[in-house]
Amino acid sequence: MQPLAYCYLFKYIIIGDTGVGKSCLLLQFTDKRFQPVHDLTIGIEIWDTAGQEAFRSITRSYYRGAAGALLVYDITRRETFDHVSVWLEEARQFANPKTVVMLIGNKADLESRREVTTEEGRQFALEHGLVFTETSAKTAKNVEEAFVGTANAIYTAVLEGALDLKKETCGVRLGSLYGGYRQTDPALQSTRDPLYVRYRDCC
Amino acid sequence: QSCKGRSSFFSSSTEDNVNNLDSPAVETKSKGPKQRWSGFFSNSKDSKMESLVEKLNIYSKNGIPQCGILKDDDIEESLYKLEDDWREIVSNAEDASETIRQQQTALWELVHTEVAYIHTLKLVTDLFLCCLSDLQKNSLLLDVDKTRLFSNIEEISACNISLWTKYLLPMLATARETSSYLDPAFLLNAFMKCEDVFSPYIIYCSEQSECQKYCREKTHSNELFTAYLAWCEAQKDCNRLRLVEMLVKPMQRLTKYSLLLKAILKHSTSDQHKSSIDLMIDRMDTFVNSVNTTLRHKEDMESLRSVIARIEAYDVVETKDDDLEKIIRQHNDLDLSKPMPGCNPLHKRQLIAEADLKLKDHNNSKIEVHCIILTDILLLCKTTRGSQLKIIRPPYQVHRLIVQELNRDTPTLAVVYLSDYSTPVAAFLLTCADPKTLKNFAVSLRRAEGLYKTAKHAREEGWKVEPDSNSHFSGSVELGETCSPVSNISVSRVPSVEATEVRHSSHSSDEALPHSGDTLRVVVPQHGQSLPDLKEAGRRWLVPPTSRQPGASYPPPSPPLRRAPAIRHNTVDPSDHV
Repeated sequence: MQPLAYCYLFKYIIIGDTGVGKSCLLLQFTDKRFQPVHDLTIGIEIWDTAGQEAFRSITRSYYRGAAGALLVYDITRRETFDHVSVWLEEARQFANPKTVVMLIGNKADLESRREVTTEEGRQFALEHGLVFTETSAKTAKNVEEAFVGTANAIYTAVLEGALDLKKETCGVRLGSLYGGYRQTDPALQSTRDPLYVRYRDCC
Repeated sequence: QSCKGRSSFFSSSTEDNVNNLDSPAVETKSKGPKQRWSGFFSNSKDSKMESLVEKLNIYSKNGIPQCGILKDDDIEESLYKLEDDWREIVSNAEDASETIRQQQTALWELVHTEVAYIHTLKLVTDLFLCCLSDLQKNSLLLDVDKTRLFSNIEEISACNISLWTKYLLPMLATARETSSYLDPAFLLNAFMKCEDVFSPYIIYCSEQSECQKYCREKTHSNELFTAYLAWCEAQKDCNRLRLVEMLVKPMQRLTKYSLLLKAILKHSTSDQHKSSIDLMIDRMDTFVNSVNTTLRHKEDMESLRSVIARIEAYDVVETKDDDLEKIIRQHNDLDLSKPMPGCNPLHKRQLIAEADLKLKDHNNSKIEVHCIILTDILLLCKTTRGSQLKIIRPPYQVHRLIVQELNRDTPTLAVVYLSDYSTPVAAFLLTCADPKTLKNFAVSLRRAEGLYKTAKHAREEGWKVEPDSNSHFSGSVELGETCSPVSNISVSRVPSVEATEVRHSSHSSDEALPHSGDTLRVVVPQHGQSLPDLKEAGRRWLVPPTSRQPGASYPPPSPPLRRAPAIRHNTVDPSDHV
């Protein structure tokens, strides 16, 4: 039996206001983990929506079939946190209802300019059933954990049968993959999609 | 087709002998004529399936008869002969400064991703579409509507091939000939005229969600279609991508151009380059924004239509007098597709919010109401047994509502409705166990008020509003004349200002609304960078002229608005929506 036939691919999207550091988070994460993915066993397919925030009716096409969503705000700009509920509503409406959403307060290294407390973020996440963490794309703090934590949550959902793999919209695909690609310039990060990252070996 | 009927008949009459051997159908058979009929049915399908499989096998061996649009071999070849990197073209690439290196990398990204994208498009046209066309020529899958499945993908393909041939390839060719850097000046004409170059995208993007839905429906309902799709998707070139994933690419690609251009701009040093790239980005953003606006309007229209479809009756005034009753009945009709009072008909009424609350007024101690906020009015409805809605109070114009939050144990809103003469004519309380729902409701009411005000204002100031894609109903056709074609509008830089998403931005309310401190204690957060300014939103920016292809009908004719049959929009699983 071919081991590859049992492999999973999780589709992620990264959403949030302009300038909260979506591409930088992705870059930081992939910096460490990036490798060609022909041998991938559990992989993450990441769709970056940076730079396209304004064209929402168009970018809704990304939501379809996402198993995970990283909803990012900037802890130094309150308005980006205020908009989280709007993004969440959008994700809930246009993605799979079972989509695992992780709330991420980014730029945690800028403690002196903090406008949103950790507690506020945690509280919001609690109220809306989201996973929560604060990250710094600059220092890489918690970045890995954010991506992997979401993947683990999805993996658990798959194992528990909460995510129905038979539904094509569930955002988890089985099977092996073709090549991966990464841009080192954050400005170009979101121009090719998606990005494939190895997550872990499952078989 | 008589032949097919006969063979089916044949097989169903011989079925008994065959089935005795190994068929799982044994237990269900010999139930009389009905079984025979369904046997006839599935057999005739089987024979179709057989011819389909046979056809597909022939394609596997000999290829699909081409109907592809790209007839030019040189251009075709150019798509397969792209270097891996710009450094292979440029002489002394290692001497390039860091800035030039990055600029060239950004340009190469545009070239490279464009080629990959065109390959995907060609896959859809040359594999999926050609295959379907040829099958249909052979009387297979005739029930599949190519346009509903693929929209105008051929035009999309043609326009990107032309972008490649006319602009990107010459840039590349020049660089190759002279072994010098890629020159962004080649792109200028393409992106300066992007409304023309990319015009088919307007139709494509606005039909995309329908196409996706159609594809899924067909997959579920038609096993021949499923087989066709499975065969196509199994072809090596598809790289395990599904058709639906490929079909959505143009939408995503469209938003990438300005990102790519921005990356090029960032690393360009010459002032001349900078200013022209700046212009290109500007044009592209304006265009994408107009596509986005078109989509949003379509969504708005759909939600309004779904509201209209759900409203079953207007039952507001009661009387015990039969004669009076008769007269009332003649007027018990609220037409929400009519223009909003005092507004240009091109300003469409929108669904702003809905909420399930409890109503308390002099008639009722407490009843459950479904509240609908539209741009100009608040409707209080009762849910009927068939989950339809019955309007039970007159429509309240949003700008005449005094809404005040009360400090009570149960979250409560006091609502007073004023007449034209600013005197109270109705008053009621709205409550809800969840304070957030009520708060959001109040915010939405204020938002509606702001939007309505803007719409009315627009008329007074004679602002030009865009010819809405649905303008051919409700008597607004004549007004189309007063609307200037879009090309002369100058939209300022910063796309996020005009790229407005009204419906989902409840937090980004509104400078437009004067705050009267005595009404509502709702904190309205500051504007964010990426959420819209409602003042702009209400204004409805113009959309570039959609260049119509002969034969293609756009905008799609809208069904009459009143009492339209319920659209699926509402009943489907939300995940199926995009």
